Amino acid sequence: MSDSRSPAVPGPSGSPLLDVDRITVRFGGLVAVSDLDLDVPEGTIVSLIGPNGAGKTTAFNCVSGIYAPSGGSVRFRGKRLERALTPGTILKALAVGLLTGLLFAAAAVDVDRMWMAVVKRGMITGEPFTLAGAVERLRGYFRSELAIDQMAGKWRVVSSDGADVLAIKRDLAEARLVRDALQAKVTARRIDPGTVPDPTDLGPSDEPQAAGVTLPPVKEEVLDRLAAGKSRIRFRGWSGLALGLILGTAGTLAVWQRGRRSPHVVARAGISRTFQNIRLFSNMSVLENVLVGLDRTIPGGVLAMLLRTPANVRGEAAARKKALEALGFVGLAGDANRIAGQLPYGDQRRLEIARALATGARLILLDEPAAGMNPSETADLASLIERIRDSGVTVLLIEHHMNVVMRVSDRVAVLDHGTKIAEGTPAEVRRDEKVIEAYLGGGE
Amino acid sequence: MFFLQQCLIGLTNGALVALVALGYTMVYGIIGLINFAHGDLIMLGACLALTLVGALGIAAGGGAATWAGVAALVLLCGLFCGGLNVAVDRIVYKPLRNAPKLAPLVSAIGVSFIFMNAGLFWLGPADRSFPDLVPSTNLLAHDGLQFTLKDLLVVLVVVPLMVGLSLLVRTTRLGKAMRAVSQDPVAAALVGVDVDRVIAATFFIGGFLGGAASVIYGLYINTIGFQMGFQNGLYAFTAAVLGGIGSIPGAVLGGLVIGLVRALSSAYVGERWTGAIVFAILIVILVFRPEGLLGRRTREKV
Repeated sequence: MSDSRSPAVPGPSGSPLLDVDRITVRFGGLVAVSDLDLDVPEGTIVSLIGPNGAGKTTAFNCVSGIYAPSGGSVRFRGKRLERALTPGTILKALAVGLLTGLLFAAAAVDVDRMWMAVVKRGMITGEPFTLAGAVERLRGYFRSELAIDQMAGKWRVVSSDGADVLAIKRDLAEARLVRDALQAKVTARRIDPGTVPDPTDLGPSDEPQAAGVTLPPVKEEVLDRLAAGKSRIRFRGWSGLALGLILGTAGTLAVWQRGRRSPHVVARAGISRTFQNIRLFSNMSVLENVLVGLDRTIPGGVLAMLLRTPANVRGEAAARKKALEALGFVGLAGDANRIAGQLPYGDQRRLEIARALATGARLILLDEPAAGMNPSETADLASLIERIRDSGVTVLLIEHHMNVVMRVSDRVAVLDHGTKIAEGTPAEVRRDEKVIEAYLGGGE
Repeated sequence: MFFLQQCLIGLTNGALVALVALGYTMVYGIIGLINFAHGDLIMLGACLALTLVGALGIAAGGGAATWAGVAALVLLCGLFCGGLNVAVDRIVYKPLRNAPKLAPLVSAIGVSFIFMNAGLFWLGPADRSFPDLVPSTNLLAHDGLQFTLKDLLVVLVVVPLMVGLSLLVRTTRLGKAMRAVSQDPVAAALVGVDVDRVIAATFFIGGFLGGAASVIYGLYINTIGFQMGFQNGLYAFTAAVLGGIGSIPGAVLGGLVIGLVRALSSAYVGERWTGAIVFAILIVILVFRPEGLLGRRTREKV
């Protein structure tokens, strides 16, 4: 187990439900939480207290997956709350990689010139467009073969990318002969002494047939460049493909890695929370707010929703019942159809708790639930928190109202400047010198 | 009578604008991104529609066969644009989800250029005429007033799509999740909503509506070109802002208003002033209602 270093003793129900193991959170140069160890045993209420800016909410954000800690780990029921790396993820990344690779390759071999060689030149010479012809011309482009195109009514023998013009003829047949003869010269140059001829170089049109054709003078360096064209274009194509494949796959995996510990994964595993500044869906009704958290319990996709299949209708009804139960639990059953934003402040806090509970969470994080409440509301809240624990849901609490903390907590951990300075039962913490110092003598 | 006729034209055109505006407003509503590529996405939808008309051999005047062909076009182009929109979200916008808002915005402009070049490649530089599959037969017995089969087609496609969309958003749990994510994505994720899936669904729906709009546009206007996305996108975006960006009924209202203003100003003032008048009205409305006609004042988020 990873908690061998952790000082906390396991709670009454055995191994801890939540095991925060030496997490550190940095924002730039600022260390918000450093080396925090915290165990939350199942079925207990654990409070996190400390002066403002002590890093309590940051710790919460880490547990609920909003921030990734820069060091350490968070385990819930012994598992790290992350999306598992499945073969599907890798396949998806490879597919994106392949697509990127093809795009890179197309760019590297110059897609514009390839288009010209494959489609446009065929149109210029007036051949009917066939797939076989296009494939042949595409292969010709990759073999870097000389081609023919037209300019101002005359036929030109050009390099496959159209960059070099080798001859200009009035007559198409003559131009074809010149092309074939020049191609033979270029091909001969590709085969260096002592190397094996490349079989793809030996096409029927490559045999010399210079009878009656006067070849235009072509500079040696141009011939050399043309001869090198084939390996150049292949090198570009393959390296573009490889580069794109690597970049695309790695990039997709990097993005996946970043979103691996996303809040919804944490929420679905069974951790839910409320916020210090209430974050309800304030334009939606009270019932809808709770239902959002129950959505994933309803079977069926979009089609099932629109067609209202029996399974979908049953699921909706069950979700509604559960949502109303949760509202009843916090005492808001009568307000189900009101707009959330119009509820009184204290009720909004309780609605947030209902929403968190309805997700079926095993652990609920409450971030200053009593903030802004009067003493009677605070007392109600304390008994609500106890009822939550008694219903079998573990509670991790941040709170400044010491009477709530001291009344409900089974254990209390004290944070100051991002480090834990004390932990123990409420009575132990109350007597701790460091705690008294941190609060400047203000226990309650 | 002339006035009524112009209103009819304006409303039909406006319905088309509204369909495109929905794509802007939904994406803005859910991730706060002005998806500048949306207009060009629709241009690509029109390219596919033109190609499909040839490939499927859809001919004019064939009665049931033509209508089935048009329905197939709407469906296929809708699926194509929806799928393409989701792919762009996954590849381009999703990695930038936590980046400052300007980063995805600039990427959207980049995607817009990529689409425009793809369209240039697909269609060629010149405008292409779109086959006139649906004739402009007047359906009204009245002489002075025209409501053609084409206008009916626009209504037949746009109205069910909008009704379906509003049902989806109001009554289904996907709609509930969409409203939740648009209000507070973090809180939604923390109660177990898969935010990325909801966003993908939104992109798909927006793209689907755009794909349907592209087919109707081709059939109604009969000319498509690789630059059509820019101007139509701009008008639709204007409609979305006018109605209150992020608000679905707002986009519909904004689209209809823009359509009316365009029709009336070209009829009474002159075609060349249409753009100026539309944008002047936009400015005046935004001075008095910065949140748009039906938009809500956005609360500051902490």
